[in-house]
Amino acid sequence: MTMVQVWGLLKRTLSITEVNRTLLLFLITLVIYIVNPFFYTAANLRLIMIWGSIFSMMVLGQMLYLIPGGMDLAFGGVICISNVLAAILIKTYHVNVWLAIITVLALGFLIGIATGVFSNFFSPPFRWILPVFIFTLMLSFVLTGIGRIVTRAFPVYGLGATYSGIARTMIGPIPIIFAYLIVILALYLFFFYLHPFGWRLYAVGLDDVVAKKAGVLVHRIRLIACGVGSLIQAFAGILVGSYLDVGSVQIGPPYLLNIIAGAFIGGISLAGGEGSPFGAILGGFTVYLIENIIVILEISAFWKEVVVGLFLLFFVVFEFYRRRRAASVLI
Amino acid sequence: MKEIIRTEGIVKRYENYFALKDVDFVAHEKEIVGLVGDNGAGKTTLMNIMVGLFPPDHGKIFLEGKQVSFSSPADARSHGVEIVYQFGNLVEGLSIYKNFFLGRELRLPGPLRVLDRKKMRQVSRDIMLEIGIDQNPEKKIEALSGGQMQAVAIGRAFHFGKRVLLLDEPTRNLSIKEVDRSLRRIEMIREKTDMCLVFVTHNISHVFNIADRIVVLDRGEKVFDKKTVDTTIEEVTQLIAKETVLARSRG
Repeated sequence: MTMVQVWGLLKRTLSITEVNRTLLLFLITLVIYIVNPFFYTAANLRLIMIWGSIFSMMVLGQMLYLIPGGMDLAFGGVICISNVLAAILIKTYHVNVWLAIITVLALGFLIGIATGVFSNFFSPPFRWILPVFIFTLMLSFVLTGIGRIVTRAFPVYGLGATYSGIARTMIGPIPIIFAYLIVILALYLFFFYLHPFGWRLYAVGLDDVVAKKAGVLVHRIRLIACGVGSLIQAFAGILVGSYLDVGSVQIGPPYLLNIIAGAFIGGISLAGGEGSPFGAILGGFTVYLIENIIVILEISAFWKEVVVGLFLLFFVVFEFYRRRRAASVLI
Repeated sequence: MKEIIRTEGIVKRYENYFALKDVDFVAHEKEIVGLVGDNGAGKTTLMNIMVGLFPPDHGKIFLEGKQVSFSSPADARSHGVEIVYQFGNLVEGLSIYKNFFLGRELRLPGPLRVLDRKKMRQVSRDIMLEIGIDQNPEKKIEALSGGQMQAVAIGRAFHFGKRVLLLDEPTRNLSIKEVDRSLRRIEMIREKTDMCLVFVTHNISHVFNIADRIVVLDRGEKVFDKKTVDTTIEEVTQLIAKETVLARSRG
């Protein structure tokens, strides 16, 4: 290969959203490491793996709503109700841990299906995003409210070793949560790239009218996406509850804007039809890294929101220039 | 000639007028039928009924002599009825081969039934070459011209269609060169398959050269149905444009 070819290949690789953002992130962590060497210690890396994985799962769940052209505002509520419900079932009603988890996952799935049914029913005359937006907004209030009513806003502690083992087990040096993420990623990759579901999901997000004419069962695709999306959020809720060994209404709703920011940073278009599972994981880790860096650099926690906001602005501008260059090449 | 699709007494009413009034229509094997009429004559309504987008108020549809009623375009497609619309056949943002097989993906044998991308690329490329466009199947749809997009859609219908191919204004919004290509493509499909082709247009000069039969609709009624050899382009044009001709002679 000549120099020109190598340069061309390099440029093409770098122009892939996921690649250039990963590099950017890596560069940032190097700078942080120079400032404070604690960043690359085993303890901190483990923390990044655990919380980065949990955030990534939330972005992966959100992605299933975003790609067909919707947006899930209820996942905070789903996470809230699922960790509270699991805690209450185990602590108050002494239900078997596994049975409690299956119940919670089933509830999460049903919440997603309910969103899908409601939004499909009202989809024409309205664009799909409108009923999804309204219904999930309603759910985020109602689910968090129910959590508060049931627990009277007191956290439920002491859920036993079996329950906390779900998230706290280590496989050698690797936290089990990271292994869960790898399994979920593998499933995503299969259904997105090796199964017709992925093609149809993107087609629905890009143009649902044409997709329907082409023989795609648009309603069914959206229903599956919503159901599985919320199922993953319920699982993430269980993991957070299990890791912290608590059932609390404080878990869930505060993640909302972080996760939507994470989806954007990971290159998942809020307009639908764009984004990849790798991007979702990148976004999830980025959002957690911001928090982590703030702790490492001993900046006041109150600065977190400011930093997340500035990060988002940075990525919006970055994306804007990238797209404008891509568009000028096309024309 | 074997009869492929037949409609009997099709009636479709919108709130205060008849879109179709008692229309009988028939198309045979390897036949190109030009379905012509002015705007609002009911051509598109008839076509949408034949493709299952909505049901007629009255009337029956027969496919090779058997009565059918399609619940959706997907249902009609499974009976071998394909349609190429004027716009909106293809999803922009997906590549050519993905559009080609969207909803009817080819999968490898085995427990996971993984997508057979290689074969899909190959088949879509072969079909495109057969109908005369040479494009990389990995190319995104939005990089194609209007004529090329239509060619991809016609190619898809050619590949999957078994009995009926409905073409909605296939020559509209195309350049003069592309119109010619499009017409030759339609004739080629007639040669290579046993489908009947229904060519819906309001431009009689495009359809007259390739159609075997011309059917004229006027305000929901069938007013004319003759073999092309038994009529002239002037006769049909006058029939369609009678009002404008009268208006001109008066004015």
